[in-house]
Amino acid sequence: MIFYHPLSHPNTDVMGLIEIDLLFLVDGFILCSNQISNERDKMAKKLLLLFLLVSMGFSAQVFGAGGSKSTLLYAAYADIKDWDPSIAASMEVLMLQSVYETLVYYNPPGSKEILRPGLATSWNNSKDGLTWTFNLRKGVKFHDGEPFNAAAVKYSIERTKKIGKGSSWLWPKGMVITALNDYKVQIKLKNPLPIDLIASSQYASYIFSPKAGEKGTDWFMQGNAAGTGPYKVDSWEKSQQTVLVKNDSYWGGWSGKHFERIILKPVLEQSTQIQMIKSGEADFAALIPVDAIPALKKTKGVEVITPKSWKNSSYLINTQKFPTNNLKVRQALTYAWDYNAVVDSIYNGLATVAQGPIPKTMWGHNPNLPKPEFNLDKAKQLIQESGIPKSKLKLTIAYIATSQEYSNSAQLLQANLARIGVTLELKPGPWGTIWKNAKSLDTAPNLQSMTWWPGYPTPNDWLIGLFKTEKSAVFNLSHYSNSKVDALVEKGVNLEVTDRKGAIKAYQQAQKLIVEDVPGIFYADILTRIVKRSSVKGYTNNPAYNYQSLYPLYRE
Amino acid sequence: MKKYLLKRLALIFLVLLGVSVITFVVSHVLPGSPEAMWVGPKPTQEQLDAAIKELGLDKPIAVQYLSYVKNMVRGDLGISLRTRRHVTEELSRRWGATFELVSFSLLLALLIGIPMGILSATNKDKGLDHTSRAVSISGVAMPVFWLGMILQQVLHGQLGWFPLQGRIDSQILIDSPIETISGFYLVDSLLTANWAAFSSAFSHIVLPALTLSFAALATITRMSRSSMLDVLSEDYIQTSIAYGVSRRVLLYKYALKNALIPTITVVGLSYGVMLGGSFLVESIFDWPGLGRFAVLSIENNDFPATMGVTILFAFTYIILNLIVDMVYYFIDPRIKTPDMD
Repeated sequence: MIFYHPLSHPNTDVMGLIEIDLLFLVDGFILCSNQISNERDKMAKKLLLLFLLVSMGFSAQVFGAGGSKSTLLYAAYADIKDWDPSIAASMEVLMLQSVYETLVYYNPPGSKEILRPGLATSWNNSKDGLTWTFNLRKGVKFHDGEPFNAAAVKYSIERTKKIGKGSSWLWPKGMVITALNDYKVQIKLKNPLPIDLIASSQYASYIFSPKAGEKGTDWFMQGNAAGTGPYKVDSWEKSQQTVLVKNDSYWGGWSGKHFERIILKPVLEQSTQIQMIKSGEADFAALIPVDAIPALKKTKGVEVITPKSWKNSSYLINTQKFPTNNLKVRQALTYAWDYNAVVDSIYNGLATVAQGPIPKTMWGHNPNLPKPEFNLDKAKQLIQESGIPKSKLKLTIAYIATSQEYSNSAQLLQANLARIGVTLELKPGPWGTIWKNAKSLDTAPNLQSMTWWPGYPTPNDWLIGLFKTEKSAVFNLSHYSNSKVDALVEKGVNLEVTDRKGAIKAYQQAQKLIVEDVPGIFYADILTRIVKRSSVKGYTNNPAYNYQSLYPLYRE
Repeated sequence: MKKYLLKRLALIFLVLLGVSVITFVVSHVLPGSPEAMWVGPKPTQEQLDAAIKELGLDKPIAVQYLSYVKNMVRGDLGISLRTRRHVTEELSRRWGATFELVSFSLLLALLIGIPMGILSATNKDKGLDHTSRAVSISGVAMPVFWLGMILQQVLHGQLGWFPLQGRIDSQILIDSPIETISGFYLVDSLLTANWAAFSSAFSHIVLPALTLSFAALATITRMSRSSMLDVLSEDYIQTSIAYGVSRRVLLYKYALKNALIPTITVVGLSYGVMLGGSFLVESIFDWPGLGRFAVLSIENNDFPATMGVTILFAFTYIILNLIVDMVYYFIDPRIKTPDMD
């Protein structure tokens, strides 16, 4: 034990703070008793020794669970909030896709078949598209031991529709579901709809145990699940991690290489996600910003995949608010947008220039639409043709403040418009606020950012969701109304099942009319970005699903 | 004394009422769409209308406030719009994490700050003094989030001494979970002799605690230094030296106790600063506490959650300052208000 006199020695600078602390504590402890006792001295020495041993033990620890052959760690951008498979409509899909299953699955574009069997082994529909029959897989059990059968399918879909939350609107009103026998289920509709596509959706189509469903949303919200999927929920440490473990009695079996355990960890900060994926602590990172991608592409051990998706971004133009209610002004805006600069520099190549309101990757896309062009002279000419004086050419643009891509594109547009005498005022904000403002005409901006992807694989999702005439706008934020377009889209919806070619023709015609009316600047088909460790194999991309089942993954 | 305490407790109630009114008005006046958050992405107009009725958003704001207060008195702070759980459940679950972090940080700040301040005072104008004053200034000037990220980069990224984020190792949560007794991982793991968990929890708390404590550490150092200098120049110290009292006894028995009194004030204030700092630190280190919850609630204008967190923070801060005032009373018999007798 070193004795020191702080009042006298200059050499005290040499001592570390920790040692001083300990001595301070220990000496103080000794002196408080007004006596220097031998026993206290000994006990103090023992305490010090214990402290040193414990702190040495920590430095011997190894951190991070990465690199294991049996465990996969996924750095998600939020915790799992909605556990009820009838309601969940957001990033919960990350967990739901591995724990629950749907009747059928949509295959990646370019596959021979559009759909592949899931919990249904085969299916067919009547010629008029009003009756759908699914033959179910035999010998499948839910995680709670209940048998999977037609009654369970009927229960799941009806419960989802009855609760009416999330994406339950995918299922039509007035459908009648009958369990013909234990392994045959029939759905009868009032209007023809592609029930096979709807049943493949990542939202509102999961089949779960009726016994679990009866326990209600509260039971699910405690972190419980009862699906048929390859993984079961092992534990949920709220805000910290969700752990999925292998379902030993999964009908798909466990031959081949698979992970036995999956940890879904919410990591809020993007910089932390990047560090975790670089060090190998995480195997997947969910929310890497666009500007971090080039550096990650060059990092050893990290693999960046940027496949095509069904997401697209646009700035919807308000067709009823001055001065964008003038067609020439809207046309001018589409010529004032620098399409290549946005896609190359702002999106860092993680998007392609769009062609119309539907992404080029979706079936039913009209390939003959005019390609967008950046031409400031043409824009200026159109502004002059509109007849609106310069003093009245003041526009507003609203977008999600936290998105670098929206923000930078808006500023670029602002600069380009200034060159032709149009003032653009920036109005960034959180989604809840700007959406509320955009819905009613007195508070709506002239330009509104919008990113869209379909609920189930169909072009009508955009055409109805964004451009159908609405008395009070929900997502038709261009306040666009064209009865010809409405009629064409309705025709297409009715033909989707019975006459796909006819539906495509109707949809393509609708797209042509929309582009002519210019209710938006359709500027980017977004590429998905998957950032993962190179050692994790088995990943295939599918634009129909934001997240897919993690069952096919394994570590090399 | 009783009268004094009762008066203070009554004041607490008034302050909390005021806090609740201000927070309620601000969160409801801010533009936003709480019903959109409640319903989820891509809702239909019917779902939105049903949500507005369900949440009572169609009633006038005064009526909404009164029903909120009525429920609050019964212990129901509403349901979080973002997580769909009861706010009281969310708060009680996360309170342990934040309280543990802030207390540990305060302990760290005291253990480092007080000796540093004292050494600074006794070595006035020498090398150690200048170093500690430089550390002090940087502590007050450095932005918390920047410091947190630098510590992550250096102490984890380059040196690998501490983990990157979280409260405990994923494996530990699965293999040897901590039995919840008090809600503090460090305490519970020690009580249940769960050494693996204690070690993991300790290594995870170091970086966030260092980040959070730094500003308070700086203030405590400066406070200790200046009050120690004041005390050392007092007459009774000079007298004791003249009487031949050993330097060590002098320092600890006579000078230190008196020098610590102003530092106790700073402790109370620092706790408040740290509660605020927890917003940033918990977000950077993915610490599952109230700070992170508050940030997410405010960002999404989840007003029941925001109000719950604000009231809880206000309450904690007030209680802590009451305790500090009580400590004053017991340490220094000279400090008294007429009510205290």
